Amino acid sequence: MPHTRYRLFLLTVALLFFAGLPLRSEQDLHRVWAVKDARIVTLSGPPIEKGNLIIRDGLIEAVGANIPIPKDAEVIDGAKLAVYPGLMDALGQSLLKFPEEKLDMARIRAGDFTDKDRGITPGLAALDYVSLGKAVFEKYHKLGFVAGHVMPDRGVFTGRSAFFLFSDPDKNKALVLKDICLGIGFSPSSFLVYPNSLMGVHAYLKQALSDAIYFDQARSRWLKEPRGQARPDFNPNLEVLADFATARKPVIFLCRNQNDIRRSLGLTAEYKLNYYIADLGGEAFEVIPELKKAGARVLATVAFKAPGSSLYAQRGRAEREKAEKEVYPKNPARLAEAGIPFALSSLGSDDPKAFVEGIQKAIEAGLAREKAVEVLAKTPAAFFGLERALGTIEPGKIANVVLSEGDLLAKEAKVRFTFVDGRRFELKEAKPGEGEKPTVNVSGKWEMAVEGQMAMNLTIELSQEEAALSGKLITPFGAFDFTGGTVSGKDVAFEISISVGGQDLDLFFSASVEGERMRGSVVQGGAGTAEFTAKRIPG
Amino acid sequence: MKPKITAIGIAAALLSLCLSGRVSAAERAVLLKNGRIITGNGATIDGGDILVQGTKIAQVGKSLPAPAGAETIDLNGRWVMPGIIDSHSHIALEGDVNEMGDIITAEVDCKDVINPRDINIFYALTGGVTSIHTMHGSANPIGGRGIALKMRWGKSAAELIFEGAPLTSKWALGENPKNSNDIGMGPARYPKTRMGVEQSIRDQFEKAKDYMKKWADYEKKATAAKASKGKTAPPPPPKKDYRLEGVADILSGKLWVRCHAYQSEEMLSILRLCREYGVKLVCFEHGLEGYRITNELREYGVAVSTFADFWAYKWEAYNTLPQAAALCAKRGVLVALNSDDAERMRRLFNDAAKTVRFGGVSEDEAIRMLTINPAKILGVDARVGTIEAGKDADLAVFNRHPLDSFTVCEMTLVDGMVYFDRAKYLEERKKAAEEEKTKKEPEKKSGGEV
Amino acid sequence: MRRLLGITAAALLMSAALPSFEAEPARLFIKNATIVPVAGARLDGGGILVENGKIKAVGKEIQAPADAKVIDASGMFVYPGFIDSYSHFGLVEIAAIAGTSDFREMGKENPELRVVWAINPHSVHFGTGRVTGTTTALVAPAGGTFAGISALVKMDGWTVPEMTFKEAATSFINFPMTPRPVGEGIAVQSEAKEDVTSKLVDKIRDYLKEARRYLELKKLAAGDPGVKAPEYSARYEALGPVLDGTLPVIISVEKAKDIELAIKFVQDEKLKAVFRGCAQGFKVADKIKQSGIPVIIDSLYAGPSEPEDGYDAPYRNVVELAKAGVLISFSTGDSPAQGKDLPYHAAKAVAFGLPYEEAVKALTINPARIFGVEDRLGSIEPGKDADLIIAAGDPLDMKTEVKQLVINGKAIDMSNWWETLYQKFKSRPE
Repeated sequence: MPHTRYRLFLLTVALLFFAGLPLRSEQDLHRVWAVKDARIVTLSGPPIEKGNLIIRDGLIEAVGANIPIPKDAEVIDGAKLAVYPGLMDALGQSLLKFPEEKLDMARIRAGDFTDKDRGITPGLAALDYVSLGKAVFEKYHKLGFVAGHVMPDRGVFTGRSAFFLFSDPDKNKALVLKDICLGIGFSPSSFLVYPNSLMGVHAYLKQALSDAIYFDQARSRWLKEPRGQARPDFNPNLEVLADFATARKPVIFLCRNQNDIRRSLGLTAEYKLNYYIADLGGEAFEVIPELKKAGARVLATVAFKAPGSSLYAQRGRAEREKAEKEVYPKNPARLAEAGIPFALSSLGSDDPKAFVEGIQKAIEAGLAREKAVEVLAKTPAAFFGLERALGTIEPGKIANVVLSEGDLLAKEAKVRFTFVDGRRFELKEAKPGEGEKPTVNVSGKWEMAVEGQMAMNLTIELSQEEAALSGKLITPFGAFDFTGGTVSGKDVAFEISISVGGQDLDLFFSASVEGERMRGSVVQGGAGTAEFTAKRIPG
Repeated sequence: MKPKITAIGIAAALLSLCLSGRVSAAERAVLLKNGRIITGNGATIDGGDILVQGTKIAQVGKSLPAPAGAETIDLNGRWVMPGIIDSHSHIALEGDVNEMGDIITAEVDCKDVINPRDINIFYALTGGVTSIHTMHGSANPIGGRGIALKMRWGKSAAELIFEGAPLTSKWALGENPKNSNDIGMGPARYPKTRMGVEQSIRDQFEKAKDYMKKWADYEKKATAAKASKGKTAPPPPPKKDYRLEGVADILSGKLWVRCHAYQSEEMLSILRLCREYGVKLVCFEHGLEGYRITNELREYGVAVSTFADFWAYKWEAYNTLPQAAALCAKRGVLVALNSDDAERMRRLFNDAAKTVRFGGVSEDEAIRMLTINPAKILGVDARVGTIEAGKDADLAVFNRHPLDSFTVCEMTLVDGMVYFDRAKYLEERKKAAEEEKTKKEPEKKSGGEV
Repeated sequence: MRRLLGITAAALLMSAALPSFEAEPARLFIKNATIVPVAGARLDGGGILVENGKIKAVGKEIQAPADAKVIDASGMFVYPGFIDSYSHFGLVEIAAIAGTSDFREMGKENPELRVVWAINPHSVHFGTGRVTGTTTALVAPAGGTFAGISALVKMDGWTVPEMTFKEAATSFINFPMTPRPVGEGIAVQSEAKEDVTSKLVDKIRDYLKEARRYLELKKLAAGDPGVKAPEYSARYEALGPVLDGTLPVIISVEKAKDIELAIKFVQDEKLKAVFRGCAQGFKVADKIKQSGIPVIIDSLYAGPSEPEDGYDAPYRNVVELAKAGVLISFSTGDSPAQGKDLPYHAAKAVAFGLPYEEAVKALTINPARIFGVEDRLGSIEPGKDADLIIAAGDPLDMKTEVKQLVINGKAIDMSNWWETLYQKFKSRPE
């Protein structure tokens, strides 16, 4: 081969080879940024109408009206932009991915139940199960979110939370704090184990907190002076619980409705806990006097669905829908009005987009937009002891900022850039969607969870050809082929006729697909409806 | 903002009716006049009046003068009886009525899961029921604690609680606790026979006695250590066990025991156990074979809270008859009629009428089975159960005699407040229907139908 | 002739030798009663002559024949025996014990099953169920979509054939029900995005279409040896009378939307239908009236179908349907243990506004008309079966004791399980 051609060949090979590899620079050349002439909402003082923001080495170096632009800074023209502290989800679980677990029927039939079956998993740590990545980050950054407090939320002692920045797919780099709070849920087991009723859960919580305090005291007594004393048995759950039962660390009560909020306040009064109330039913407004008296801090949902225990839900669909439009969205505004410290949680909202839509509903219902920004930026930092590092745009703090065209959280606002941990992320416009033709391809395996049937392990295998959908439902009782199915836009529908124990059942599934998740309802002909979600199984 | 009234918001409208424009409870006075008053303690007053002051009945009589500022309700000759008391119910509870995870669950408490927004509270009022006792189910030999509630529809959970009513412990014998140990998910669990059910209770009593002793010993040592002023180290306390404390409360008499039982031999056997441990069993729930052992029941002094005619749904409910309540009552056993069911709760007065036909109970006695008898079983007979001065103004108004098969409950008062008024209810419904109609057909005039 | 005489003589001799049973009198005379005949005005101080199981005469001036057994009903009321339009008498003894239960076969399609094959004529519930005046009951199968064939039975008899008044009274189609969103957990679950009910109704239509096809082929094959006859199908055979309208079919349906769907279904399929339940019938009462379909009211021990219907919806429903002119009747429903409560449901409807006379009709002549047996049952008129209630007061009053029932002209033995227990334990010394 001629000399030049050989060199070209080598170069092509090299390019092809290295094109597949991630570019690994030896150093990060983009560590100094300046945003020029922007409106800056610092949250540490009045907004700066026209100012400069300097970011260096991951931290805010300077912010103000007449700050000089350093020579080594990369400049972003902020003339059309407003700068905010990055928003934070005060409590979420959608970033957690738990491994697929097959229900072992033999074990169940033998009565071999684990603590997990009871919902007792205080040792479960968010850090071990968080799943971060570029796609996830983009979904959040697009809406102005740069960080989140993540906690498992299933069961009675649900697990311990951790705080992450949406900056690096490596969770060790993204982690800010771990084992911050312990989740407490009012969620009885669906197995025949204790506790399997709400009253049982309440009584169990009291006993567990009492036992944890006892264990803590017994252990420190023994460590101080073992002579003459029986050595207390080790109990891994009690060891974890000890910090929380003795108020050395806070718990988060996952309250499904106002009754749970009152129960939680009763428990905190009795056991003198350090706590937050996660208002997942959106009914905190019904408990304002008690919350104020107790000095409670609230993490409020924006999903605005009437809890089943509410009068609205009991009185029928029309009443319920009306309340979900007119009553529940007012909850955050009412908390703000009453002066109750609160932040907003994505629990109950399926994904970041739904979370923001919920926040916008709350704003329409009366929560001042500036207050919304404050409870999404400043308050979560203060709640979790991070107010000196995050939450406002001040020199020395971590550079988490959002640059948006238009007021952040306004419907027409578009986030152009976010900085997380000082790293810049640029956000591109999404393409407009298509019509009734399928816009999703759901072929593959999905793990399905049906409300009220949490214990049952269900998988669906889907095969989509244009708008036609076929597949089968795999249950512990066998596999059942679909008797029909369609895909339209991003909605799927399929039906199954099952024969179980001599009974014939007709099941109709319909759902909307969003990325790797499906959410919808299944109707059993003549009997009832249940909601279901499905998560795509990778591979 | 005035609440918008729609067809479906009628109960809400009544709610706002109760809560709006109220004078403080202590000041209000209401005169119910011109009614036929069944006082519940033998006398019926025709053309009678009831004066309510605050939450209490101030006076019962004829031609009572109305104090200044009193609201007047003209009963127009309708019948008034003491508000019905349903001593065995499971309404107004959130979540499962049974904690089935273990067979002894004395630590569990219905007070923790009161659901004040249960629409069945409103339905109770439509049937003239003013107080209930809501309790743990019958899955366990020793279940959780129950709680007495007044049907103050619209109030919070804490405000529904019947102040001062004794706390109760629910026991269950027979098929239900046996079956709850074998429901398919997991292997069958002990006990599976009536013998095992009783033994579970005995075992727990012994454990609780041990637990109480451990604490008594600790208290003694702790007091001695304190007195020694530092010479003796205070001992570490025993571990607190809420379940055993619950059982200890039974042994010490703090809780009134209500025992679900059907068959005569299991009832006699548990009475023997109670005598052995010094536990006072207050009432058998259902006790459908109680008519076979009326002598023994009367001798022990235990009451029976039962059905008028619900039977044959399982084996232990087969050997019974609608005359059972009458047979017990006629032999001096305290008998109350209960619902155990939200739907039956609305027609307890019909059930009482059945005992007149089946067994020949007198009308007065039938009324007592709904009023003073359950009040005694709940330990609240000083407050409710009859219409007399000094008692709570819990009243039920009917358009015909309550035991008449064609009667309808038209108004129910709790603590002197009208919580249910059928006339207003119908008016709201009519208005709402007209509103819906004019919304849909603005050019047509509404015909004013319901 | 001689042989016949011989046989008769032998029979007479035999009967003389047997222990003496009191032979049923051929004639019964009820006197001095207040009679509510349903057909016509109330008659005070009247008499009823019963002969060979039938009502021979009703009136004030009847003279009792010498050989008639006389019942003095002074101070008492006589009504036609009540007809329970839907029950499981004889098909279940104790609900929780599966071995005693025979009304629910498994599977969706069982139109050929007949309850008369399974009724226990000595079920305790016949004796206890009739104490308040029920003399005839529709005994029905349940379960699946096509449950089977019900029978009309009298509440007294030694065997099922003796008790059976009409072996094939009605067929059944259980209509799918639009599910109600269930409130559980954090949020109330949403309704389905699709119209599931219509899909399920289509499945029923398809099944009926298959049945028609089968019957058509069978008919063709019978007339033409060239046409291959279909294989015998008991199920499709059983649907024949339903499809040609000779056998009425009871359709259980609850919600207003479903009722409208059901009316269309009945009209499209040209069925002779009777609705059962119709809890939200009051919302579409005029449509039901127009369709001409009668309604069997289920047990009124029920709450509203949806809370917004109002707490009194079940009772209001009866009143509204009757006001709209719908032909209604009462029933006790799924539990024979509550079979005696038939008149109590009627009383409850009266309490909430149903005219008394309408309530009595709905217990007597209405169900007779609904089941096409008004020539034999439902009123006290000459020529009809002598099924009578002799009561110490108004039988719709819970406090009234029914003293005696007459069924098929016989004053029946009123003993029952409750009475046995009552007499025994009443006598235990104190």
